Amino acid sequence: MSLRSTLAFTIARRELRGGLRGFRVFLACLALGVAAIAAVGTLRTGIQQGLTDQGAVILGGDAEMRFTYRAADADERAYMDRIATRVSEVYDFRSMALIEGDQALTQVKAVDDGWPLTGAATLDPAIAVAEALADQNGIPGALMDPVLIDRLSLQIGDTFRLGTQDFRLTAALVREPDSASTGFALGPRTVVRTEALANSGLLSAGSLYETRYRLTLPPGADLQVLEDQSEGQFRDKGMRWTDSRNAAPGIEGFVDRIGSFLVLVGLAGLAVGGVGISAAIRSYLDGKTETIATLKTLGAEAG
Amino acid sequence: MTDPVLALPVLALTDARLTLAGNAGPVEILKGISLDIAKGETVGLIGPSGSGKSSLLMLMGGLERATGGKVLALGQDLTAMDEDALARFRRGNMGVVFQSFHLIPTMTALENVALPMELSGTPDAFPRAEAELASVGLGHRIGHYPAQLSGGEQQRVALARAAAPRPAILLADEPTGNLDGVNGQAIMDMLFGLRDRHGATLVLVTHSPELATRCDRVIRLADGLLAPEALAKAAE
Repeated sequence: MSLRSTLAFTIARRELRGGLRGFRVFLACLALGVAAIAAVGTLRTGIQQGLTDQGAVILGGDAEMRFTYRAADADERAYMDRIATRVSEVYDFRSMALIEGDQALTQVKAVDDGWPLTGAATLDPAIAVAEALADQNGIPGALMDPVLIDRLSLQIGDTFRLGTQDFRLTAALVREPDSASTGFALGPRTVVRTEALANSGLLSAGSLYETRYRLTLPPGADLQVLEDQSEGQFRDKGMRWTDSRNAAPGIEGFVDRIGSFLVLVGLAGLAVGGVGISAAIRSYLDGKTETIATLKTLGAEAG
Repeated sequence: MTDPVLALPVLALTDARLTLAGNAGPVEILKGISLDIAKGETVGLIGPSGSGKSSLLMLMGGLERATGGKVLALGQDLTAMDEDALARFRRGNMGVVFQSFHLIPTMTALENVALPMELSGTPDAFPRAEAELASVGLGHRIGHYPAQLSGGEQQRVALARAAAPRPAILLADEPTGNLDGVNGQAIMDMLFGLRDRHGATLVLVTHSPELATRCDRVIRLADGLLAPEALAKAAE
């Protein structure tokens, strides 16, 4: 270190004996702004990491092939059976849950024995999904969102109707493991077996529904290769591919937008704080003007 | 035969002018001062408030830049130097004492006195500073900060700081202006004592006729000009 630098450092060290009092506002503004931006970044990263780590659970499988207004045909099912170790078929549509004298809109999920492929549904009472959806006395079982149960004033064991098919409420669906990947829903959830809808008249030509095929893939499967391959074969037939790398694009988009907004808020805070910073620095330098003038009088150069 | 270099005035002003910009337009502070001050001379600048005494002293120290004319110090043209060159020039050649002391509040008395010598790279800055403080009677207060010293003591530190680098020129701007009579007298005794000891040229701005009479020459200013009797010898 040159003599000049050493002396500059010595004088600066002596100046700091006066403390950082004049810099408190400056430091507070800087700390708050940086902390806000860092917190937003950390939160966004945490959420995105969580979505990535739990991608398969959120999606309900390692990958999903989705069709609109139709089920997969034989070729498509054969393809799924070839690339996956397990396949679960889910129908998703809106309907009215009917009871004597009342009705309510519900988002129906019709599932097979494999549902849920990943994660676990939480039911009240705590019984197995297969048991909850099983027929009893010729009436198939059903699960319902507690909100819908309250709305229709149902009790466990009561019956309700979807289309022309009666169902018996066997449990409340407290937690639905793949709900985050479903996207926008117009009504609370009802879960039934797909087979039980055969006589309901709800899944026929002209019905508005989606089918989702959740796939459990072999360990080490290359998701990108499978996506390219599947889209290459079935994209033109209306197939849409989603996998655990981006299990809930809606949520990720929402988090991205909120994150950008909060960063903007942080930056705006920094900009507003900039006024305080400017005032703090001006006030500090005003206090040091006499010292600087004295130093120059004694022979201190500018640089 | 006289050495021509030694015969040169220490300070030489030729038609020196100072005009400052003001909200109501430019203000002419000094309107053309021509003046020589010889080596070792003590000069008192007197005159009413606003006559330009302090501004003239600032021109001599290169602390204000003349807007016209020439200001030579030790043969060097201060009007041709930039800020850094002026600072370097003052560092080795000038000591300045102000009415308001202008000590650096975060430095001890010893550090304040040593500072100009540190800036000029003097290796024994601190021992010399300590000796200079002792010479003004503050050998026991070297570790005190300005806020812990009285006004008279602060001005003694300022005197020691100005004199310690052994400058050829000492400039003092109303050094007793903020002090009571007793302290003011003591400070003046010390200032003239330091000047006698180091043989510096002393230029002193004062309102005190008594103080002015201690100088070799008194220069009176009025409205930015030398008064007609300016060159009269004060102390006969």
